[in-house]
Amino acid sequence: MRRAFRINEAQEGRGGALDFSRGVQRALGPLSAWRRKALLGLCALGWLVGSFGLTSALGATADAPVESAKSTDAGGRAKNPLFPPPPLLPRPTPGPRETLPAVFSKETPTTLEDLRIIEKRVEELVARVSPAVVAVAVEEGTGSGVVISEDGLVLTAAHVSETPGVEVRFTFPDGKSATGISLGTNHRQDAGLVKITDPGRWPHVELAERDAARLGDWVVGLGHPGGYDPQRSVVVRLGRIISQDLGMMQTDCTIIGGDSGGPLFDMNGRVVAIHSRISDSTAENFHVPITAFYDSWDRLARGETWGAAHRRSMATVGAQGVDDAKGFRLEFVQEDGPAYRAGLREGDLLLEFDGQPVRDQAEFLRCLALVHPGDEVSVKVRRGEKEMSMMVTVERRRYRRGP
Amino acid sequence: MKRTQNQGPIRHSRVTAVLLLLSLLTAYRGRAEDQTDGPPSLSEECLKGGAITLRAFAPISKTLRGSVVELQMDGSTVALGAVIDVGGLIVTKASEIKAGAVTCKLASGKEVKAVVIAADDENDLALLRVLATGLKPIRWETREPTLGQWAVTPGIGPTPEGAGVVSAAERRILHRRAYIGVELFDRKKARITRLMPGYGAERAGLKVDDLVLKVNDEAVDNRDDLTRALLRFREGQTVNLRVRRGEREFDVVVALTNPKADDIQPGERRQESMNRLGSDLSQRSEDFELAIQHDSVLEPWQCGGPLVNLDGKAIGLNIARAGRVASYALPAPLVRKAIEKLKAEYQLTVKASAK
Repeated sequence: MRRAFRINEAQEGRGGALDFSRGVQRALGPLSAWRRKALLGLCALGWLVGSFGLTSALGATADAPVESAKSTDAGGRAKNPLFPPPPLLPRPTPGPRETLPAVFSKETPTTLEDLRIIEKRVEELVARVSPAVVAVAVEEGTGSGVVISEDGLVLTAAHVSETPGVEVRFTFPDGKSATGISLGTNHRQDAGLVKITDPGRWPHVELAERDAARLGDWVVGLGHPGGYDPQRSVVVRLGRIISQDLGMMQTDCTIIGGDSGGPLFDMNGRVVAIHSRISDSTAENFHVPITAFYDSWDRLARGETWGAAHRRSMATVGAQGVDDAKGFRLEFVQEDGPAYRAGLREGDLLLEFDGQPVRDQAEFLRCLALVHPGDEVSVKVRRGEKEMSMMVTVERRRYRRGP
Repeated sequence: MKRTQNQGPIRHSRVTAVLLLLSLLTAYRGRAEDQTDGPPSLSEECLKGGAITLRAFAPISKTLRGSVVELQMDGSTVALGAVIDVGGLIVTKASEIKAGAVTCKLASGKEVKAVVIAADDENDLALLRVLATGLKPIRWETREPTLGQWAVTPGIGPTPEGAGVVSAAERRILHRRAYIGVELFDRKKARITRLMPGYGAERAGLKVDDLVLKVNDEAVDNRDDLTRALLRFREGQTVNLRVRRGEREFDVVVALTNPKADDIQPGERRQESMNRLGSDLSQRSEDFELAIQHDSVLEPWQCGGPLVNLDGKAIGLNIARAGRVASYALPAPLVRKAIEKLKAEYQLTVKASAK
């Protein structure tokens, strides 16, 4: 009855994954062979954000375009007092580190007494930090996050908050909800900062200092796997740090869609990492080390977004292209898609998108990552000798099959 | 990890001694370092459910010796079972031992015949009788489990099959979500934006732009309300919907069905494929009245036996490997109640056949 198991859907979306993996290689430098393989595997599965909680239970696809347009248009952004946010939010100071019982420095626990010490620690810690673990809903997706200041700064994964300036809805474990806004998104390391804007004093936790986590450390992962469930508490997972390097931490705290952005705690109850992605085995759970947040704090606090060309943007104009000698040429324009309706045709050379020059595919993707479904953007193309300008309405990418 | 899995055990036996020495000198404290390729990593045996870590739980397995059995069919183990009576009564997960001859393997290695005497489909429990000596009924914990406490799955071996922590307090585990077959793009309204061909809504004559007001007298305001209201119903059931179309309001009965594979929404499909990553799931892993969730990584055949705390007392009975992050156990009070019912039913049948 002991069988190996491989999923068949892991192949899905591998084209996009390759793109991303190149990005990761650029970001992380040369990777050893097995590491690359692991990354490829996890890329094939994509990000861990769940788009199930808020979508229709009735067979609706996850890409409802209607509401998302409103909350993210440029006008809405300009009106929000927090966008642009204050230039510098104070960098969080790490919480105190106390000396842990000896069992936590052993290779493994060896006695029942060791196990009892771990248990007591974990139970206390879970009770203490759980109230600060929130469900984070942005547009159609839902993930997790953790509050780190009384006024409601929340750490999450960049692929959960997606883009700065977007409305975010939070749900606390006791069912209370709050609204806020997304600040910076570091897509290169998958670190995202969001802020509760409703007035209040929020339950919050402390952070570990940079590089505090050690190989083999016991850690507790919390989050809302599968999205927020009012019948269920925050879900507790225990594990150890299996490896960490180059902006990535691996543990055997099993995580899944909906956990993204949730916190990983050390045995002092301080956040050491944020859940990001998974790969094949139950020991392949990857988290963004807290160091990534310290390193990019000022940019996150200022609401910057970067590394975005490598993520799967939710925006589409229904056109794809290739780089040729002259620039970025549209190779496929979806019939009845936004680009087609605006008058773009296959063979057009794209010159500008949303006022930005486009010289190659990377620039096009970067532009696309910065617009939102519902935005109307100007596009300039060259067709033969003629240059033309038109307005295209950005749509939300749909993954639905069939009619 | 895949790599460590393949090479770990060999390397481990070769270098354990060296590492023990190194542990005195370096900061790695005995943690295996992969020297051929890749960054240093923790050996798999040292993970939460790893072989070395599980040795710490050996006293629990010893306490439970004679209280857990392996149930086999056609020579392979299909489930564990919990001994509940010194006379040879065993409780297990019913759906794993459906039809056929069941053999019961004891901690001593002895194999005896087991007979299913009663079953409870609702809780997926079955009662078996074996003729064997040396059996010891499990002890039930009466306190409610705490989040984060150890949750141990003993087998018949000297160390447990798995270990994890209690992830979530007991709750109802719903059945598979059935569809009426509509799409709702508008989050703020329960307004139908598309009908899926062949499903109940279409067959009942609902139209695009129809607004759903009530599900069986429960008012629904928006998409999430409607979604939530429909979660309670399963395939084969019907709901009465109050619908507004233009100026008109009317009631309509709509049937629910399980979605065809192609119609499952992408988010759900992705979650489903993630759930199967690294885990083989139980055939029946949903629709339980109450279940404790724990994070032990179990195989389906490792369900059916007791889930115990560090005192060796059963906080529940493992009922399903349900996903990448979830194993479920029916809580002790529910199992004990179900066992009493099963016993009573069995005694009735015995009496009836005696007459």
